[in-house]
Amino acid sequence: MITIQMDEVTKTFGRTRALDGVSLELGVGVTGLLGPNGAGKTTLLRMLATVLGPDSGSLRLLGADPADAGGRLQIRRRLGYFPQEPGFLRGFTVFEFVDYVAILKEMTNARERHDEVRRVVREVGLQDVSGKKIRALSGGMRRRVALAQSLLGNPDLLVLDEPTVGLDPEQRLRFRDVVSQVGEGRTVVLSTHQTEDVAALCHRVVVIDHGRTFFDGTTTALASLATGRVWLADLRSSAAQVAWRNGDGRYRNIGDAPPGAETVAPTIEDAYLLLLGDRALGAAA
Amino acid sequence: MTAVDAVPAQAAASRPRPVWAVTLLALREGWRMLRWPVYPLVITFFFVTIAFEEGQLGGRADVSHLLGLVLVYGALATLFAASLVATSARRSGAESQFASAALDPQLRTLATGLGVLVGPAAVAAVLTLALAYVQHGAGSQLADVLHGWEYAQLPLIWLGAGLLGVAAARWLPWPGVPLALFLGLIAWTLVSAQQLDLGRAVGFLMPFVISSRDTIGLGVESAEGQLGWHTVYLLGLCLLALAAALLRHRQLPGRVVFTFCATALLVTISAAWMQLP
Repeated sequence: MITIQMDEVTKTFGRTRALDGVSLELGVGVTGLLGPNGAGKTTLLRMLATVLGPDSGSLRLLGADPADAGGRLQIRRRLGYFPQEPGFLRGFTVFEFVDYVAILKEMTNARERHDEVRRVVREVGLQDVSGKKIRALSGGMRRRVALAQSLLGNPDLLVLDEPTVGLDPEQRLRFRDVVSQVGEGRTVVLSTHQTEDVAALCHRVVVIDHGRTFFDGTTTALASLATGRVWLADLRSSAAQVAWRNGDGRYRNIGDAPPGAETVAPTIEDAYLLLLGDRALGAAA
Repeated sequence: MTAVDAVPAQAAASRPRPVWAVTLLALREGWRMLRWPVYPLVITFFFVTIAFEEGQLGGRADVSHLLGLVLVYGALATLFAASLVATSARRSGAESQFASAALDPQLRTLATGLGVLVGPAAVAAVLTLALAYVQHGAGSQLADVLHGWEYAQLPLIWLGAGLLGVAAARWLPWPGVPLALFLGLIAWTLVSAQQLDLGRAVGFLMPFVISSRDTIGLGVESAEGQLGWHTVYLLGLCLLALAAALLRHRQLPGRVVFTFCATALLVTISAAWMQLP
């Protein structure tokens, strides 16, 4: 089932071409979006969230055209969006803020709306602080408030732009649990710099850079790009494109392995670094 | 569209238009405006004044004068409260979370405008009724009191000031703009009053209450028929401010926008013309 269809989509801001002919077809499940800073991920996600329109190319979401007012409303009624930098109305408590967003999502029945707000607040583990002012919460908790509002109404399309930034390991596990459940019957698009999150959650991964797709396939297929190109050695190898010293004192080298090298199973991160080379390293720095 | 996603899409499409959501949001926004710290002070002052009307404050005439002042200057507070609520999402960076909601920016602007109506303007109407009670209630022997059209103008200046704040928030959402508008409104009113003192009818176009007597201390005097048209004129200014706010977004069909703007303009110009002696 195809829920997102992008065909040769472009978007330009001034002289910067943020998206340069991106074509994608995504369906139910969790899709990870990887790429360095400035690759075009946020622009792509803002389009999926109907906040931006393409300059050229075609886009259909959940079977509707976001360029058409009626189609956009249909999509928005089935959409959840977690922006890259979520802000919160001053003076609002967690409950009040999520309730406010619920009204913007046309939830007019007070009892049902309050039940739904309590549900999503519980889902993200904020039920004990739902009466607290958002400004009194930590950065990680605030991001969970943003996640809670995006889950309102069980959206068929959930767009998450770097939702795990600032979350501690326990919160990330909870996040994975929530998102994987949503992804069982619906479409989730997740942008992140955390390759572990992609490995843990996504059945499919798209790597973009310079506004173009560099890879589109399963996480296993991405990792396999680095098969035979990751090896451990006592020294940094001159053949390695990328190398770093592990905790055990040995070097993990990525590149064209020399003969006789002790190769190891690659991770998504290894493949990602190989794929994007210096650009990815720049982002990591 | 695939067969599987067609079912929820049809359900989403068949939902009624978001009238109730806009109404609910308007109530929420109105309440947010009234929580602005100036209002509780104004309202408390108002009712404390009533409670002491026969006591320390010196009798009904003083009370009447004070309440009139509260109502007149409370309108200016509404300009700031409405502007702050209308810009709050932008100032706090929350706009990004609301951008993909079903209620689009134009409907949210409409809700904020209606929020002025169901919030501050409604409170002004209640306060006006209280003022009318003080001035005309049992035992009152006041000669210098307001009458029908004059009372009707009081909530309208709260509404107009609030809608102007919303329009400014949409077009000029920068710090200092509400203060500049506040000073502009005061200047417009004072210059208009001065024009009336000089016997020039253009002074009747002030965006403020006009009385048949010098009840509000502006030195304005007008005939009974003019008061009615001035009330309609203030209503026209309210509609113009709302139209300006809604015009910031281009989501409504052009015909609807044109009809609304043309009506607002026609009402304002007609009423302005009719109140001139």
